[in-house]
Amino acid sequence: MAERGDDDLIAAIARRDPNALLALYGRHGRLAFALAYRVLGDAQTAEEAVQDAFLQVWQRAASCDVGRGSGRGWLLTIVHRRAIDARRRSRHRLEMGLDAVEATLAAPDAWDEVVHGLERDEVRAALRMLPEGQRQAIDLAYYEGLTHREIAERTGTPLGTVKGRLRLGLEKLHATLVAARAQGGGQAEEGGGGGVAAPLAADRRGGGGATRGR
Amino acid sequence: MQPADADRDHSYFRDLLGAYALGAATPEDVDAVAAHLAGCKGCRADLARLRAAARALPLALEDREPPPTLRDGIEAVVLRELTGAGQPEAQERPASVPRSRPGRAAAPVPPPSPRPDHRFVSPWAAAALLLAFSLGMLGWNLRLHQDLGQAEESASVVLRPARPTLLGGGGRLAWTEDRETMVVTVRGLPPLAPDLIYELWPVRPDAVPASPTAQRGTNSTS
Repeated sequence: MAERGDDDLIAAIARRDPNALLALYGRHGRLAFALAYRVLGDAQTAEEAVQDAFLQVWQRAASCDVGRGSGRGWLLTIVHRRAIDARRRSRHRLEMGLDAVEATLAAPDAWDEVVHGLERDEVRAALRMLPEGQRQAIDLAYYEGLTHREIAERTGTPLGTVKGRLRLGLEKLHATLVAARAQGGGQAEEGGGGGVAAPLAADRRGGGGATRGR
Repeated sequence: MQPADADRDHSYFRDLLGAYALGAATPEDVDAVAAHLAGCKGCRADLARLRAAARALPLALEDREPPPTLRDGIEAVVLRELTGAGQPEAQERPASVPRSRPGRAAAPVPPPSPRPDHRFVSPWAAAALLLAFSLGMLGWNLRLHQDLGQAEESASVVLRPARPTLLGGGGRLAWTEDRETMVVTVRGLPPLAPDLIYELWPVRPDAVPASPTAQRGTNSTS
């Protein structure tokens, strides 16, 4: 029997099929755990975040219009938000909660189809093409949950530069991924490290503006 | 409002879209950007692209094997919800996995409860408990074995998992004299999926089954 796609699994979860949820976990659980672990750096709290995320999927699949081809992105967005919330709680910081995320998830973007078919190497290759300052700013925002103001303080970078790095970095990442998709993954490279992580020392050493090339 | 002000406002919000897409905008900026987005089609289109890029970020990560308790925890909570509808959400998590608080929290939430700390359990006390348990089980098994000798018959067994697939098998059915305990030995079954729930229905040829005996999926039947 052919393997069920994410869309089918999400639809089955909406019909309260527990096997579909476990199948979704079997397919994306390791990446979900990797994401939560990357944000939290601790296996136990990462486990809690992923479990919470899958329960959210279970409880909200019927009410959210996930959209075609965006099941994986939807799941990982929830996992990320759960992990960031946990990280911020642990630092006694502000918390955004899932409200904003759910509003986002209820209206999937047309570009989700671009993300849908992406492979790890394609994303890594696209990230390597970003200027270091942009990659670092994105890393601090996405994996450490820092606001743009906190990134500016942490890195000693002007606030306007940080905002520009975040926006331009995502713009370039998107353009590169779209081009890679158009070429059938032709820009994918082998190897490379996981995540966007760039050492802080690199930014302090290199400085540079939002559009600085590598 | 002067056109120059409008342009400046637009560029201000446009610059914030990256932080907004990454969830890195401050709460006051989030509200302001959301209000701007409602009336700015161009920024909505920009945000869609930026958000798609942000969603691609975790795809670069190397998979990481989660602890097996994670899958078990998800399964347990979901099955409990399905079979025990109406339980408060706060009780829908296995005791072994502390619950983090969903949604918006005004005050910091204490860190998750630590896992049970067994460092203060005396090894001698644990050994004594284990010995007592083992002796108890041995006695119970001997008595059960004697009782089972009094009544045994062949049985045809069908295990039906929670989805409509029939698994045929044969074996023997035995029960104690007081009919409080029944043992079914099944042979010839394919491997049973550990993530399914199976129901065991003892059916006499001349009777209609009254109720099933719920069993979790396992390769052994008892």
